[in-house]
Amino acid sequence: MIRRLNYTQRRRIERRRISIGLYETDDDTPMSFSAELDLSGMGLPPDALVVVIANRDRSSMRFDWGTVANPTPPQDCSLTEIPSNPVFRVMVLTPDGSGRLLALAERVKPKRGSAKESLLWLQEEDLGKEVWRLDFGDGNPTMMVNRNIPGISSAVREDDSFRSLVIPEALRAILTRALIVEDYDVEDDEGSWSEWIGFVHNFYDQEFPSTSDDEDTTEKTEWIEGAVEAFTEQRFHASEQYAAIRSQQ
Amino acid sequence: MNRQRLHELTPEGIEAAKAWLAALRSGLSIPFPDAILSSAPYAQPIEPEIYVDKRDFNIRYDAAMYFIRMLAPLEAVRIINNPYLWSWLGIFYFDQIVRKDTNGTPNLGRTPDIAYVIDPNASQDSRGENRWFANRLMLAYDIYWQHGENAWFMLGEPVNSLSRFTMRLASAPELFRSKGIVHLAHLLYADPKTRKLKVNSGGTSRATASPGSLPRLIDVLAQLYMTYDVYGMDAEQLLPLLPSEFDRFRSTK
Repeated sequence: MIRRLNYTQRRRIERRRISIGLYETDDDTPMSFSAELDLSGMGLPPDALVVVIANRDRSSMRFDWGTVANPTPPQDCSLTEIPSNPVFRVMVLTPDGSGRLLALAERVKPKRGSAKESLLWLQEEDLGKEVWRLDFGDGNPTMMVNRNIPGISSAVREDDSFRSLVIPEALRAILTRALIVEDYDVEDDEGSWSEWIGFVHNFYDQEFPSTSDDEDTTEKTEWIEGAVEAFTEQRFHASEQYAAIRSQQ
Repeated sequence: MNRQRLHELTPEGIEAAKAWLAALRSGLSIPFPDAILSSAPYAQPIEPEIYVDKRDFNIRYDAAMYFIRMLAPLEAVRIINNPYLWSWLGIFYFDQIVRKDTNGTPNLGRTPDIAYVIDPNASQDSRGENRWFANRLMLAYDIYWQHGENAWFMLGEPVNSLSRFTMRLASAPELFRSKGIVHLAHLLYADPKTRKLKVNSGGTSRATASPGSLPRLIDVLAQLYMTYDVYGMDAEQLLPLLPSEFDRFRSTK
């Protein structure tokens, strides 16, 4: 696990100071976004430069956002070069153009339009013969569902038989991705997977195993299995839901 | 077929293309899968209509220039990171981008499938890092599209190869996305007289990297990242921040 130490007095912009909305359309129009930034009371120079960057995999777009005292969003915030599912970086730079950082927020996840907020985003795609698939993004996973199956998005939201089979497995895959594949630091309460770890802590209070052995993932895997089990028992009642549905058929 | 309408593969097409590659790897002599390129359910045509021609790409630059021109009618978001488009092109131009034995037989060797076909479900390494950069044609397009002529030093290789130097820069998305950092690598390591990389610029491994080499630059940039907007700065701003170990490259004209 790589830990970066900050000896530079650079400030961290807290998540509560940033609100980014992502707007998608049903046609081929690119996504766009809006951002509300509250940088007051941080002791930043009023003429310090603000920059917002959208990232996804190998694509990136940079938006100059005016200054701390006079935020000036660009007229066009279309994400014409970002295919899907971006995360954002917000930076405050010295006004002298030297590129020196004064404050930073990384991997900021946007909220999606007016849709009800959910940790797991839902998106219809052509998946061939697959019913669903997870796109992990940079800490903002999306459940892709096959647009060729009528009513599939409704099934994800409302069909208990579908949900009882799929949602626990999705949680297992997401936690495996975060904690084993990416070796995420669960103590980082503003990191890319912090919302998911916080979500699990709502129903599973076992301490996460501290191990220095990156190769041995046994304890982490057991923790993930415990979390999924607690989720299905306390929050989802998956097996009961599925059994009840089967008994009605 | 030497001229064909541009399509993109479907998920079924990607599976079929991978099966064909697997058959080639096992030594079976099977015909080129024309059906994958133009028939449902394996492929769907791109709108607006675009036609592509079979051609030889001697170096990555040739492929980059061709695709920049050919794909110009499409919006960027339909090109970048589109595994279905680049997989179709990887199969259409397979004969041009695969290594061959002396008798002309395709030799996939240890080159991974992703060099030709990007399976969105199986294109990450053990750390979850995206490996799409290894797709030979997408890489060519991406280098020129992002960096233009400043990146000629990454475009001079044969289109069917991927040097350690190019892989290091292309595999780290934040480095690769940064115009300033790629321009900085150009200023440090590219020799405009020979049109080649300077000696010892690539290094071997990070542990044994020679002073001022690309692996060292990546380490130094990671340190500067704590204090500077390194991914957004110009090469001319970054150059004075580098320690003296880079002087041997900085001073060579």
